[in-house]
Amino acid sequence: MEAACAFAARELQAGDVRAYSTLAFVHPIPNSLWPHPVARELSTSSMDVTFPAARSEWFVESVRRIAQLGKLIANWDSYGAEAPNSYAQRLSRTVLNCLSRLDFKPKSIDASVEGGICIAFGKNGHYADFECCNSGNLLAAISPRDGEPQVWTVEQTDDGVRNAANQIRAFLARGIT
Amino acid sequence: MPTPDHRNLPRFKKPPVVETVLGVEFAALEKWSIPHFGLFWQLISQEMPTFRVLPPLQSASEAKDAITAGLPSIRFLTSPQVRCWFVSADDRTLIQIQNDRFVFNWRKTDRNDKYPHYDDTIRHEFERQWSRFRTFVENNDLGRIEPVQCEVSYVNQIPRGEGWKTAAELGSVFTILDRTSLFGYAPALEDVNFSFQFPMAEDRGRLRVKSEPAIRNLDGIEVQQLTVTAKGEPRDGETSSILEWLDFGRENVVREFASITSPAMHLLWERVQ
Repeated sequence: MEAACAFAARELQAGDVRAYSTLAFVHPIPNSLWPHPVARELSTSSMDVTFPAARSEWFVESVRRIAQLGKLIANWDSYGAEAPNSYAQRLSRTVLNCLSRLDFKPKSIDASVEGGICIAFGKNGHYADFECCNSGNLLAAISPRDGEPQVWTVEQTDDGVRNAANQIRAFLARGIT
Repeated sequence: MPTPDHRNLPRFKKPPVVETVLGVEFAALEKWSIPHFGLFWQLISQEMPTFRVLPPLQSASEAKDAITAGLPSIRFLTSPQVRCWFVSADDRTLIQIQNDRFVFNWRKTDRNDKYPHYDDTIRHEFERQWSRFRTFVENNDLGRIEPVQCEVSYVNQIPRGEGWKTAAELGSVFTILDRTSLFGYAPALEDVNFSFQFPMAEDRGRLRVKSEPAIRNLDGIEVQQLTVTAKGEPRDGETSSILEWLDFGRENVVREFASITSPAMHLLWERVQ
């Protein structure tokens, strides 16, 4: 209950709260409402825009890149891969918005053969990425130059993405997990 | 009811408006439930063949003493609530329905789309769809619609490259950013993000203005988005009173838009009066 209220309080600060209740039971609606920068979720406007957390050239280019990827059609790799759907596009824009606040520029943004969008980083032969899946899941992966890759599910909150980004950043800097 | 004479309102041949929203909030219809979305959709599915389910809009009163509008709030619901979008085949118009809301949107979907103008098309189309919704509620014995608030919103997008190239040049887009007159000197703006609000005449509601940088998800174009919203309570629940309030709200929105944007931009948008 305490955790639920803390979550609700955080959502309150984000200006994006809605609580469903039966008697004393308070909990936020699930992660599907995150990200909150999507204005149309909560306003009468239907405009599909991203409000950047920080004005940066690479962030604008990244949103443009996602728009391009959104135009891919199924079997774009000629091996039957799914095209990135609206969930993956939305998720990737929000991850990028979090990254722009950290000034953590990705190396590339590409469609994933697994279905979704991959936001990738690399340094000194080490590789890491965020995988924004068509299923709506958000994964992070790190792959050392000479080691086993690790993949984990990222909590779809600002904190969750920031923690994962910091882990990736540290990994790329040190090359160890 | 004839469209009022708005010949004195500022008018542009190529306004930057990309969306017009006309809405009515009413006391929640207790009998409205999930199946009614489908029943209503049957009536309009020829015109609005696609739908989308979203979380409900929250209520935010703009009554004179209500200062909480726009602020976050917690709402306790006893049953799941949803909002449904019904979207036209050409994607340019949509109707949003929930148990206490009817919203009609026109939106620009192609850069070559011409703004259909409030007097010429949008008002009439709202009236037609609103009347249909009202009749549906009556025919299905869902209770009496008692409007509590109306809304007019104009969303404008000013793309980078059309009147401004850097954030510093946004100072010449908005009259309120005339920094020389404000401070006596004018260092370059790095970013523009502002909002303000004020009550409208005769305490008939409140006008909110918001401008912020945005990126269109469809094409990745950078824009400065300017949203002007009027909300307030109609005199009574009659459709004529709702339309009268919408005319009033729209007049405020248009005059404010013209007032805060510069003559140089008006030239670009081909202001005709």
